[in-house]
Amino acid sequence: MAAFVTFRELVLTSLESNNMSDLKYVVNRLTESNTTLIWVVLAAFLGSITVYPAIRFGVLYAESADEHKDSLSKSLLLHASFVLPIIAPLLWVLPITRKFDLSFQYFFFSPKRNKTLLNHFYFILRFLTWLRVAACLIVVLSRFAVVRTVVQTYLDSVGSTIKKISGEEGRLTLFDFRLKIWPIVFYVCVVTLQLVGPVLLLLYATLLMASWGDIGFYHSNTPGIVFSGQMLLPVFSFFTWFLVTVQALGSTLAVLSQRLGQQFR
Amino acid sequence: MVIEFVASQAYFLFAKPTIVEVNMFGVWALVGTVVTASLLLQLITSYSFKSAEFQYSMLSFMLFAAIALVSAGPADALLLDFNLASCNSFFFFFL
Repeated sequence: MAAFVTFRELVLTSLESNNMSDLKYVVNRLTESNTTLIWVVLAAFLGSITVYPAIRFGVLYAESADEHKDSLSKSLLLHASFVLPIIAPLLWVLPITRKFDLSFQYFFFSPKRNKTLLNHFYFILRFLTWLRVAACLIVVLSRFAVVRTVVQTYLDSVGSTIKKISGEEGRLTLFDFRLKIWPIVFYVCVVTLQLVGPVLLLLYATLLMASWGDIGFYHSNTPGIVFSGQMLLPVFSFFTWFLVTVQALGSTLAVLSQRLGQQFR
Repeated sequence: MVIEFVASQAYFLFAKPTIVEVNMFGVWALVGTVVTASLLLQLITSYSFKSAEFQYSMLSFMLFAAIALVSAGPADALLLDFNLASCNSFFFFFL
């Protein structure tokens, strides 16, 4: 690896000596992008294991929302648990976050008026991280709040299966009947794991982001050296965003396909 | 899982945190690792390589690799706010 660093330094110094410092940014991006691939592979792995749980949640959410149309609180919670993961990733979109201004720092963090540029960036970064952590925690809470309702909806599908089996012609022994019901009932463990697992992963990614981002909800930290201890903040920021986005994409696709399927049935 | 392990080790080695920070970070890293490992075990034990599920998983892996590649690369520079390039120099310690 020493050879690689030497090569990089060689290129940078030769660029400087040849009056081509404009290309420094390009060289830096090319030589520093090697770890991004690690994050991409890990994110793809996490995405592929959490997208099926997201689809499962989308399907069960649609059924559950139909079932609980009359109860206002339950339907509100269900809709919130579906909509909030779609809203939360928007807090990472630059055209939206650019709207946040220096004035937020006086509102949320420090009464000290320190107008250096570095402190400005530090406070904006911490404010954004705080906002993202709060949004993701609300997503996690809303998802946990509906687990019971959604699992009950899954178990209610046993009733419709029994009706379907009873309508079939021919003789059916009790054993065959049970053989068709048991897998649905016992699969409830997997369904619960699918509902809870990705949300727990999201929770830990969020809390790791909060740890690296120097965010505390009970006390206000005063920054000592600016940007210290935030080396892995971008990584956990990326993973948190990715996990929420996968949840949003998966459940939205599931709901859309189910609704369209109902349309054309 | 791997990230959490590497991150926690790196954190203890280089950041030299106070005992409260160690507790906070260590707890989340440990529990996150356990949850990821259980999901991984579920994936490995329930899928066989020729099954449709495994093929769908591979397809979704490639799909999400494309999404992650775009969002961590060009989208990070233009549209999304991770700033992943800023932490890359950290890993030159290991290389």
